[in-house]
Amino acid sequence: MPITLQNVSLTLDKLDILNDVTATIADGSFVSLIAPSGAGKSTILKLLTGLLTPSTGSLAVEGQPITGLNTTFSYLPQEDMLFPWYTIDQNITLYQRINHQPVDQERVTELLTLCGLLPYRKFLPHQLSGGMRQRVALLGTMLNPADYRLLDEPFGALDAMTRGLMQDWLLGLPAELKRTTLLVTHDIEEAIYLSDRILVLSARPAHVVQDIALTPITRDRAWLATQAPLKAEIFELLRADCLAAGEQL
Amino acid sequence: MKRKLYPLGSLVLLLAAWQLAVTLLHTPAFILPSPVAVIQALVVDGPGLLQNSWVTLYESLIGLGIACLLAFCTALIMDRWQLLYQSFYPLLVISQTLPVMVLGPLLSLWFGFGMAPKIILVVLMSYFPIIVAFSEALGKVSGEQIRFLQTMGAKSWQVYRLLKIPQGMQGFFAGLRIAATYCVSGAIIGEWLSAEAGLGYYMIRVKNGYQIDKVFAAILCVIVLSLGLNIVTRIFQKLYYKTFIQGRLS
Repeated sequence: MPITLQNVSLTLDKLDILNDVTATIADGSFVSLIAPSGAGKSTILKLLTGLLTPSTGSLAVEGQPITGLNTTFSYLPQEDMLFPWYTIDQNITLYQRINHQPVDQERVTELLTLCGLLPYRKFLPHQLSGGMRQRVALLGTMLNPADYRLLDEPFGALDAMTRGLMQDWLLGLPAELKRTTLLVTHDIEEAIYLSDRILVLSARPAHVVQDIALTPITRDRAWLATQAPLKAEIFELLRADCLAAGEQL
Repeated sequence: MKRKLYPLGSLVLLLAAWQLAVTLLHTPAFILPSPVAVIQALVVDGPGLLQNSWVTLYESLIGLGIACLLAFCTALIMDRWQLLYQSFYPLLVISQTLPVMVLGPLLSLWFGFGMAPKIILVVLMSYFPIIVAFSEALGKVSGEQIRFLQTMGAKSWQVYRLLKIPQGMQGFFAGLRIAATYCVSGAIIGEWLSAEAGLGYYMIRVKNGYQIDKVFAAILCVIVLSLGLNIVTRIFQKLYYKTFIQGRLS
């Protein structure tokens, strides 16, 4: 069952953040939300997790309306969410510990190996590089059994090289680890490279201005290089929208 | 290592200057004894100083322990129920404008001349730095991190256990390090006012006999006790994160 947003609007402190956002995210798809800065991309993720409530409209997942805080989604916020006093092992299994579920150590070891983090499992977060920390954070969302992933600019703080490597790593994950994912990003190239669909949002109050489907036969850097016209098209869309909203680029 | 030698070097220089000044100026020992005389007094009266130091240390530790417990509980309660924080925190801050020393005679009147008034003075002097630092650290916990845990199904007590307390404890230990230094002074003040043992009592007794070298020897003991408690606090902090937080999750 898909995730649906039906005519969702949100006003916070007399500021219109979202205006009539309607979208459907199909099961198993990887959808990116792209918009000018401050347009309300992250707000949509907060609405889905129930951290915020829409002023009008409705959100639903698996046909069930979202009302209040819920644990349907595995959510990775923008801010660094690794707790510095816990080891990598402990950080990635927080979900199991919170919900009093047994930790499948074999599975944890398998995933740590897959992510190249096995030698660091007893390390503290500050002992790892930025890219490794981000892999740890993403691994935490993978050990969360939720069927839906919400990623809020997970590579935003990384340098270009590490960012590229992380994108390749995410794409190369085995199918069993892939879930329906909603990614918030401000990087057009990243959205094209990773997504099955891109929802382009307008400047605040945000609404969907374009819904782009991507169906490459092979998704790799060579294919990405051929997508320059699409990148330019999305950039133009965002630029025109920003200019219309009176913002400087 | 080299860095640690700098303050040691300046201390040796200061002591040498002090010794030289006392020798050259023929300062009477009942006004300012030389460092050598202080060390001699420390050796000669060692057993007595040790016994009195133990009494002061005992009062300080009991008082500090009670202050820790009280500050920990009240800060958590005030953090959980913000109405209580808004109602009582300003009063707590205002209460600190009152010099604790003036409470000494009242405490003796209410609680007698035993150990109780000294311990209460230690509690009063140690409680404030701990609760202020702990409360502020609890208040600084990122809302985003709290919500992150809530999206994983964390209940309020789990947010405290997994996030707020471990993060807040950095503030708690910062306050505790200050309190560890204050608490010995609290016990000494209590002993000045009424006591039969302890470094404060010893200082009054030897001062009345114009044995200023012994007063300085007692001051040296106070410094050692305060530094010792400060070091123990740092060790506790390391142990807390290593065994209590990480160990408990393993």
